[in-house]
Amino acid sequence: MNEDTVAGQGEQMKVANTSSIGPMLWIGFYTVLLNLVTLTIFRFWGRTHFRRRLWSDTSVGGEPLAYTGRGVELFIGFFIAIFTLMIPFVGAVLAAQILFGPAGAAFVIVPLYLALFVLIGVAIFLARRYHLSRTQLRGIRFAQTGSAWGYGFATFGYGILSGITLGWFGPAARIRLSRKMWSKAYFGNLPFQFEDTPEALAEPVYKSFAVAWVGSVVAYFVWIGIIASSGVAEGLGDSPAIDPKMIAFFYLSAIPLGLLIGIFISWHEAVMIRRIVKSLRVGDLRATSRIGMWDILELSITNTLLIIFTLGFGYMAAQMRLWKRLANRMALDGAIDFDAIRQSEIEAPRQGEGLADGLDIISNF
Amino acid sequence: MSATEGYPAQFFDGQTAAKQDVTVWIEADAIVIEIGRSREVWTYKEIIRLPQTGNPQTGDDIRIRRRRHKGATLILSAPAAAKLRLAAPELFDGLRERRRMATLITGMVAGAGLVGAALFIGVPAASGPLAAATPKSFEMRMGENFAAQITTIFRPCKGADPAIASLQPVLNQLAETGDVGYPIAFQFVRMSAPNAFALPGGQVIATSGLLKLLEDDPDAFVAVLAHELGHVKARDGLKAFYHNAGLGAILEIITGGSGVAQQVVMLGGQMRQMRYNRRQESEADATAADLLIKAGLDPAALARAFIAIQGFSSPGVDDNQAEPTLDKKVLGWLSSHPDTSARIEIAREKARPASASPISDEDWAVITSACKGSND
Repeated sequence: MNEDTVAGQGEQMKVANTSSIGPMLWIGFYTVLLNLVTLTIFRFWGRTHFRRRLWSDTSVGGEPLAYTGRGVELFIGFFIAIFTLMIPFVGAVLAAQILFGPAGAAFVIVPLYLALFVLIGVAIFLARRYHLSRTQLRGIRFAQTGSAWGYGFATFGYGILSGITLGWFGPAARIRLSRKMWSKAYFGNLPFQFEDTPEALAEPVYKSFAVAWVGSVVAYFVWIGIIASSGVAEGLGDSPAIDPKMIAFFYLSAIPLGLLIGIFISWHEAVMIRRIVKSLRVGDLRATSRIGMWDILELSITNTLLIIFTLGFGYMAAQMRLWKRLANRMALDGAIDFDAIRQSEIEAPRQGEGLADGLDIISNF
Repeated sequence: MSATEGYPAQFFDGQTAAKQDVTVWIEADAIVIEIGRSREVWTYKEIIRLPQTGNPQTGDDIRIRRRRHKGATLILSAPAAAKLRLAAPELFDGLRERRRMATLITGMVAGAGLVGAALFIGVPAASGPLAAATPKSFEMRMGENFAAQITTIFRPCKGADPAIASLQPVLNQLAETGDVGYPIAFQFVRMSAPNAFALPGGQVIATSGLLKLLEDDPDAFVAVLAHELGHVKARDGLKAFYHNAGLGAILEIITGGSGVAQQVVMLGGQMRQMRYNRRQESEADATAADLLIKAGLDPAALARAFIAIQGFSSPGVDDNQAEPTLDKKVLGWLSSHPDTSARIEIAREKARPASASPISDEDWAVITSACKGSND
């Protein structure tokens, strides 16, 4: 689909983010500080402040998104998850240790941990449903339907498949999970579609994965070979006096290795993002992304430095920078009749993200 | 309707995504919105302002909505916004929001204080009565299971059964005369750091490192075990378990965490539960001295054990040994047993001639060979 046919059908709608780093550094800073004096309870409000700012700075077709979530909703959601799931879980594990020997305890504990892996998917789903329900564009909310448990079991099963295929099922799993999520998402009463468009299918998902997988393994062994032949390895043995030059060589030689693997992975990541974004349609609007390998690589490096040099409180600013790049590399082709879109009738959850918070898999956006 | 000037504005009604042109009047305590033929009145009390967008095209617009109302959003351009700023400065100065946050944070800090009190005062205070209320049979079962779990990580010494059999009568006698209250189940585990533990319910474990360190001083070895029996008698293992579980539960509730991380802490905690506080340590010393005297042994043996262990963890105090290896530094028994010098002194003060050694040379030869060959 080229620009002309798009223009013929309607317009191209811009997605943009205009966040600047200052306010995000400030929110990150006071969140970390207040977390210290509130035993981390402030985190729910800090996260809410961050999202409110980020959403407002993000526009679709010139209209900003609005985040309507509240800190107290996250707080309550967290407590519900802790008391209904995490405390009974830890209690059961502890009881098993007290009451049974190693074999008996394992008999109770192993299935509980397996269940925990299913819960990770459930938590991702529920957090996402909360996100969408608290996101508005033009006064209309987004919504997520579908089964949280279905998503949890799918995540679990795909995780096992990815493991036994040494990661090779991973990209397919990611696409399947995205499809499961997006094909049950709504903007008001308008459903999202996840379609294997020719543009999406043209993305070299497995080519980039193969390069990343094989390339990383080869690069790693070449590096090991270089280290072994340079004599550094002998220095790392029992010898008490290790030559500092060799240590320097060891670490410095790891930099080009890390960079090379970073390039492989960034390429694959950019391909995956484009593959998923290009599959999305809502009404006659089709999403597209121009995100590239350098975007991912550059952001990975600069965001890591940002977090290190701010002693961690720059993590929100780092997430903003990623979001901003994703938004600014995205566009929507086609036309949409906003007058015809009605408010969502799907009931919004009262509180959110508790389980994700309980499982420590929370993301700020 | 008032006679004041109306401003053009834009409006999302929260029913459809259509943007509507409306006219608004900024009144003394409310905004009146004329949408087609109908009107809405939004009082300043219920209005919230959305964050200013960073978009240069719309950056001067302000967006307002009503608290707890679905979606309806009013977009005011600069002239109307300026009028609103005069009529309802509280929407712009951020005071209301700051005050709300200040109240919230004060509440949270107070809550954190209460939790802190629960952690540092409540849990330690509760662990004693909880332990006292726990049936011994439950404690023994717990100890057996903990011991079984620990010995899946720290392997017991192979072929140590004859050694344990030789040691058992000594332990039984100490426990009986000292009224320890639990049958003692003893094991050797393979670990180079010299250490001994008392788990709940009479489970006692000594490391191969301790046996090796004290292989020339059977009385000192017995004295260390007597010290562990002191912990058994005081139910220190059970108290420490309640203490750790209580701390873990509260921290889990407050900070979240996967439960997985919590679990690691718990499992590790079973080892670390053997870290008792100073009061518990000196009480166990006193019990040990008592047990040793009743068994006709010299309590100064405990002092010798302390000195040997101290020499192991901080060589250079009285010998010219090279730097200790890292694991010795980290796992040093003394790290959990502070103010050793004072304890050595106290043990020495109780010194008296021993009536007999509780272990014959033959038995000691069997005992010291417990971990030979499997010593790491």
